[in-house]
Parts: sequence; C-alpha cells; structure tokens
Amino acid sequence: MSVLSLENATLRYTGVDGGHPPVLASVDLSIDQDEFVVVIGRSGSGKTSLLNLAAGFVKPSSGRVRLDGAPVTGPGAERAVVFQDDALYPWLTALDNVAFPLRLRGFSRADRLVRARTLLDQVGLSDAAERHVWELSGGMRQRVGIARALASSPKFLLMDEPLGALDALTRSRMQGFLLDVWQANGVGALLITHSIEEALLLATRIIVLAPKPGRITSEIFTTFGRDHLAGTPLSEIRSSPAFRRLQDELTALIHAEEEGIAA
Amino acid sequence: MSISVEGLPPIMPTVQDIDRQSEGDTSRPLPLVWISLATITALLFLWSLASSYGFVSPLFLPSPVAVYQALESLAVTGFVDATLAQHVGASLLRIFGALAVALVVGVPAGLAIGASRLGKGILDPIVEFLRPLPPLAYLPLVIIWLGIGEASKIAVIALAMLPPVILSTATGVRSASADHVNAARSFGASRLQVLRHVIVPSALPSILTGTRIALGAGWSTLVAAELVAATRGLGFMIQSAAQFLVTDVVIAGIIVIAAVAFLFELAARLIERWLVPWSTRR
Ligand SMILES: Nc1ncnc2c1ncn2[C@@H]1O[C@H](COP(=O)(O)OP(=O)(O)OP(=O)(O)O)[C@@H](O)[C@H]1O
Ligand SMILES: [Mg+2]
Repeated sequence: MSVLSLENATLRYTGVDGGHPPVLASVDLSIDQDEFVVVIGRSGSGKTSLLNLAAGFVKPSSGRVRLDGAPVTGPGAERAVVFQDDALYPWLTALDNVAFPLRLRGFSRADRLVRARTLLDQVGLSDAAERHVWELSGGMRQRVGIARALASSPKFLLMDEPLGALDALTRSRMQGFLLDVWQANGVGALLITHSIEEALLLATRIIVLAPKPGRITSEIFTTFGRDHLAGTPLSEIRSSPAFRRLQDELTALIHAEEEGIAA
Repeated sequence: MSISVEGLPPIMPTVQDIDRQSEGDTSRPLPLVWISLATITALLFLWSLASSYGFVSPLFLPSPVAVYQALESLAVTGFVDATLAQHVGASLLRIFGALAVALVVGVPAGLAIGASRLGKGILDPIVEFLRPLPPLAYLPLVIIWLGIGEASKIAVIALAMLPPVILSTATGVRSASADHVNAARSFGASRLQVLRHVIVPSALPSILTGTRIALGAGWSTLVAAELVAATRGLGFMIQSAAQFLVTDVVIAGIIVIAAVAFLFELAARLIERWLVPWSTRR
C-alpha cells in the first residue's frame, strides 16, 4: 500500500518582489492508498496550492513531498489529477480522451481502446464513446475526466473541486459515483471542496485548511462514505441525525476559526 | 442595451436583434449573400453604363462584355505564349511551393518561439526584422543570391508568408491551456509528448488562421515576384498586358486572381471546419 505525504511543506510563490508571505506553512499530511481525504477551507486558503504540491506541479519552498518515501520531483502517472473544469482535450473524442494516458505510455491503438472502453463502461458512458467533448454535459465530462485519470492506473486520484461546476442534482448523483470509483479502483483519493456536506459524505478523513498562511487546523475522521458503500442510501445518510450533528459542528468549527483569524 | 420610448423603435439594435439574424427568427431579415449579390450587380451595371455611354475610354475601362471575351480568348488561345490555365498553374505552383516552405520553416520556428525562452530569444529579432519589410525591398537581393529562376520567386513569396505563419503559431502555443498541459504531465507525459499531443493541437486553429493570412500576403507578393524574368504566371500576364495597353486582359487577370483567392478562402474555411471543429464550438 502506497503513501503520499507532505512533510513540513511550505509554499511561497515567488513573484517579482520576492518576499511574499507563504501560501502554505508547515503542512504535514500523509495519505494512505485506502483513504479518501477531503480538504475543505474557504476560498484562497491554499487548497489548490496543496493539491498542486501533491501533484508535483509546484515544488515546496521548504519541506518535502514524498511517495512511498521517495522524494517527488514532478508530476507522475501514479498521481492522476482531475480538474475543476474537466480539462478534456476538445480535439479528441470521449474515448480517445480516456485512452490518452495509455497513448503516452506507448500502448497500441487496439489495446488502449479496449481498456478505454472498459473504463467508459465503468463510468456509465459506453454510449458516448465517439462523442466530441462539446457534445457532453458537465456531469458527463467530469466522468470522462475521472475515467481518463483512472486510465493512467494511478495510486492516487487528486481532484480539485471536480463537482464544483455541477447542478445540485447531478452533483449528489456524482458523489455516490465518486465513492464507487474510489472503492472499485483501490486508489487513494484527495478531493477539494467548498461543501461541508460533500466533505462529510465522501471523506474517511476531513482536513480543514485555514488561510493566511494556509495550514491544517483540524482533522476529522468520518465513516458516512463507507456506510453508503455498505448499502445505506445517500439520502438516508444526509437526513440522519448523526450526519446533521456533525455537519453543524463542522460548520461551527470553521466559523470559529474565521473569527479567530479576524480577532 | 437599447434606449426606447413607448411606440418608437429602439434607437440602438439590441443583442437580440443581432442574434436573430444568425438564428433565423420570425422576422427574418434579408440574407447577407443577397445584399452582397445586389452590390455586385449594381457595380456591374454602373460599369457597363460607364463604358457603353463612353464616359470612360475603353483603353482605360473596357466594357464587361469585352472583358468576358478577353477571358474566353485567354482560356482558349491564351496570351503571351500561354493559356490562362497555364498562367494560373504557374502562379499556383509558386504559391503552394512557397506555402509549403513557409509552413515547414515557420511552424517549427513558431513552436520554438512560443514554447522556449531560448527559441524566443534567438528567433524574435529575425522575425521582427523581416516582418515590416516590403517584399519588393529584398527581391533584388534574393535574385542576386538565387538567380532569376523559380527558386528566387518561391523564396520571396515564402519570405512574405513566414512572419504570419511564425507569429500565429507562437500565439497558438501561448494559447494552450495550463490545465491541458498539466493534465498531460500528471499522466506522465514527457516534454516532447506535451508538445506533440497538447501544444500542437492547441495551436492548430491559430496556425490555420496564420496560413490564411499568409496566403493573402502570398498573392500580393506573387505579382511583384513575377515582375522579374517570368514567362508565365498571372502577375506576369497582367504586367505584359499592361505594357501593351491590353486593358481587358489586365482586368480579366485581376478578376481571375480575385476568384482564385476567394476559392482559397472558401477551401480554408472548409479545412478549418474539418480539421479544428472544436475551435468554433465550445
Ligand atoms: N500562481 C500563483 N502565484 C502567486 N500567488 C498565487 C498563485 N496561485 C495562488 N496564489 C495565491 O495563493 C493563495 C491560495 O490560492 P489557492 O488557489 O491555493 O486557494 P484555494 O483554496 O484553492 O482557493 P479557491 O477555493 O478559490 O480555489 C491565494 O492567496 C492566491 O492568491
Ligand atoms: Mg482552488
């Protein structure tokens, strides 16, 4: 089982004037391959920056990012990223988008299309294989994006607000879908969201990020996602007293932190 | 927004008014093509009026009929030892030869400028030097270097085509989305793979636009290039005709160039729709 970790990681974007305050300060976070870690925090708290560090798009100014103990020096196929606005390639069909990571690794066309079809089946889009990106709805695009990320056989799936642009109904359906994908593929998940409800539904562990500088202020372990995978419908979970109570507590916690910053 | 008073038409067209034209609403206005055709008809009418009533000497402006007859005889018997088809063929060969050269040189150069600091540093001054120069200015030099044969003509046209190809390729490279590039990197793409699978397709719409601009520049240079020691070509044909004051052939030649350039434009649009369908969608 793999482990992806940020160790005492600080990130400072170096602008023209040099001495910027850090965007992330001394972040310690270790994700196991069987976890679903959800990062929550308000806009500008450094969530995307944290994901970019984990993905290897940016390097920490100090501290380390490691995968199974080895330092991460850049992006890599074992940490596939799902973007907020899908980032699908409009010049490729849905199927070819999913096959893209396999193409990079030199699979023959026949091989990669077989595998891509299996993945499209898994996300329920077998019928849309030959469609162009602009012919897909927002929810379909995100599912293609997730299938594409899975095609690179990652150990970790890094998702930056993948459901942020979806309407409420599609979004709640996609939440169940994300849990299924997580369970079926044995990947560790790191997901960013603004929604406390979404965090509670999906996470095995919630990380609260406070801004200026971005740092982890709380860690909460939850089991609602596993309950759902064990058979409880999401709607039942959402309306359960335990869920409501935790939702209120988490909301209060985040608000209290904001007050603390204001003070 | 439009300012409108009860009972009076709006002073400015609203966004909906403009949209209606393209979407074909109930009060469908006259299609643009008809308006354009009407303009052309009116111009032809004025032209024939001017020449038939002798307002202008046929030496300066032959009648439309005379020009039509010139076109016919050009097609059948030709002018200065070559038929119209041969003149057109010679010119097209030069244009396409030059376009091939400009694309083979210009696209990689544009990729280098857009994708690498070093490439930009090296190539930018050369492009900026070349870009504002009128082709006629370096034509004599190119003739000294390459002789008066086909090579110098193609070279001059290609030089005129290069800057738009290079610059639009570089612009296209810079228009590649950071997410698209990062996605590929997170799936394990090498620098070269990112260039091939992400940057080049992202730049393609812009490269095609640049190609269209280059073709325009090519036609203007063609006439100049065929000034020197050509025995065939539309530019050469027009110039010889002008020297003998065969004005109807001059006008016929101009019309042929306009028609060919127009067909190019149509073809370019079809190619765009086929090659980069996503650039108009989304
Ligand atoms: N490339 C960059 N250069 C300089 N500063 C940046 C850069 N990217 C982000 N920042 C700054 O870092 C801080 C954190 O940004 P980040 O995008 O990580 O926040 P976020 O939590 O993802 O916000 P949101 O919820 O709005 O997406 C912000 O103050 C932002 O202005
Ligand atoms: Mg963000």
